[in-house]
Amino acid sequence: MSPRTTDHAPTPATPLGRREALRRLGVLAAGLAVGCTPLRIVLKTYPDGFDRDLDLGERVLRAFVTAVVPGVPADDPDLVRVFSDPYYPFARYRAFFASDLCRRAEERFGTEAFDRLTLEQRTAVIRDGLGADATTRKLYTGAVFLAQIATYGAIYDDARGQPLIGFEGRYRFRGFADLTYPDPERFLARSLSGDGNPT
Amino acid sequence: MDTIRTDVVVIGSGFGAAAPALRLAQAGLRVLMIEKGPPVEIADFRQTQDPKYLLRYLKGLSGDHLSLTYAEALGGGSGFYEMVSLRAPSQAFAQRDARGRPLWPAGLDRRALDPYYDLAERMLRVEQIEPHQVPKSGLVFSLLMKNLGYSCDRARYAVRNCLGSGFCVTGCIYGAKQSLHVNYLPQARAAGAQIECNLEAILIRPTPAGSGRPSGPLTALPHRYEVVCRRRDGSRSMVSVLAKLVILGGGTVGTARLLLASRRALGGLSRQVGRHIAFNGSVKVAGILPEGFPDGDMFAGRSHPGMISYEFLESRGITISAAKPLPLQVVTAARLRLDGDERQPAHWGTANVELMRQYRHRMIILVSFGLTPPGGVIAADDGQVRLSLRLDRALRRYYSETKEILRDILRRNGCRLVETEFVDRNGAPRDDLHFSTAHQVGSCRMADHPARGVVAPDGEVFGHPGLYVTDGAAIPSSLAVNTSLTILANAERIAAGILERYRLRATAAAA
Repeated sequence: MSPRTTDHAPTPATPLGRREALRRLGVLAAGLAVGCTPLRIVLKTYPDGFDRDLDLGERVLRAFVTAVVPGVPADDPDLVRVFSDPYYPFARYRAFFASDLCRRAEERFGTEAFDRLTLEQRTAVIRDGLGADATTRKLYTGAVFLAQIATYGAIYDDARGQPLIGFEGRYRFRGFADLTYPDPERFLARSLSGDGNPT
Repeated sequence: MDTIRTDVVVIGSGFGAAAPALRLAQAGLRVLMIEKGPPVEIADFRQTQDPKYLLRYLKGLSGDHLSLTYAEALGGGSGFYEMVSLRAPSQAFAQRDARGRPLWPAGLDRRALDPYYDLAERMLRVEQIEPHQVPKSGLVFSLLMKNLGYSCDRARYAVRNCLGSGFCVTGCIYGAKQSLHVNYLPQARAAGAQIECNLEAILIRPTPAGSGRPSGPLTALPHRYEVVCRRRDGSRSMVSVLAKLVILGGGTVGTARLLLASRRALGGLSRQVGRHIAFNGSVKVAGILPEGFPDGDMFAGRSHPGMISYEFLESRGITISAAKPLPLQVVTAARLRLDGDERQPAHWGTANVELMRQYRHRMIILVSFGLTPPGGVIAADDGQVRLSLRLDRALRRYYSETKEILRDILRRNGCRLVETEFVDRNGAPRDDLHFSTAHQVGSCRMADHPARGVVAPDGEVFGHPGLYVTDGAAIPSSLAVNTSLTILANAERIAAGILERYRLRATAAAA
């Protein structure tokens, strides 16, 4: 088991006043529109360090993405950008999600430092989240999905593409010979049509 | 509310809308084309997989067992399609429903459409791809078929001077793709048509002057319909368009949605609006090419791999081609797992990365389109539209048998299969069979009788003279090939009928 670490030092959950709690519960009732939001998100009963300390969230999310797509460079500047991109609804759950990874890391491995776990350990934590209740599963499924979209799709850098899978991004013409084989006849099967149209 | 008076209002700007807009403008009519989506020109296209860019123009409608993708932008789907331009096979026109009744109106078949296919092909400059232009993935697909003694044909495309960038589906930045931006739309403008984007038609209603069935030249007719529109450019202001002819060309989803919203105003509309959506029943499988097999580079050449097989068209009603989706399209469509690889997790983590690293050079994806029955339904409920498909035993059997044909092709060539688990827009796996397509047609289909369809064979809505449907919504069946050329040819045919009916003549330039 990994040693306990304290350098994340997330501050304890802030107690809510009754009025504020009721207001947020009202948001929850209306909030079914955002799809079964976990109570802890709406009531924000997770350590607010994840809201205040963006570096903390970033470290955790980088560790998450490098577990979802092992081999992707951990120092890629756009690695976790998708999680805070306001275009995607996930952005509002970013802090909670990072905190939940740490909470599950603590539960399983006795340390909140998800980002210091080995690949196998991080994988186990993510699988825990994917195997949890339906709401948490939805959140983790969405996070994995977004990580793959952003990474494989190289959505923040059209020019670079994704070297991990040989995707070169924006097109650079290197001659027609690059597109095909020099002896196409070797590949062509018999034709049923005269001109390519079905009869 | 601003009011615009015009001879013709064309709703939409895609394949079904562009032909009537051009032909009627060329005949000297005042034509206003309105497009719900934003303007987009070749200079706006990007080689990117950024969803923000793509979703600006591409929309989806997902429901039980069926998902549809369509474009909302100037030029409709023509800006984003793969340029495949094929005539529908004769079998498509001979399809019958479960009670044995023909799906297509009497006399409307491949032979009847051929002159309009000719015209559409000339306009889009469609040509069969040359052997030396076929992308590697297409050649590898052809080799798979050849090895088994099957046929495979070079497909036909609307393109000139293709550079093979592989970004056809995000818009051709070179202007090589012969989308409507380089032919119909500029020609319609030159003939006097006005095109307004970000203007959404939300209701059609007859004007008091339009009751009855007036005859005589079109220019002497009253304005028969009012199309109530809303601007989508931020102002949200309303516009009333008064027109003598209304052409519905907003696509299978858009046209059904508009007619459903106008049902009360347009009394007597057929109950078939929104029903009978055909979807080309696409089935996809993937595999890893065996060692020693040539590289089927997924990222080289145009988006469509260049080859199509009609080998199983007569016997099974399907065509087969390969596919070379961009990485984003793969990830958002399906979870992949190498057959026999029991590692967990499968669809992310190390096993997934290892598979994705083989994607470019070793993976082959086969896609089949089929003559599946028109079983999709769009219904409106409190302004929201819902999509559904009734899955019956025959459709499930079609899917499993077609999938087995495709898997058999891969297996017998020594490929290792890749299991695909299709996902929804949140990345969660589908819990049942689900078809997804951009080839939807038929929500307001042509028929010989209003009990069976929404529009007559000439495209006019039953009971509503001067109101026409010219887009994919009018096409009554699956085609087993990409639908764009048939939609365009049928729109040309309907436009020619309108010219004849109102004794209009194209100008010398148009002729």
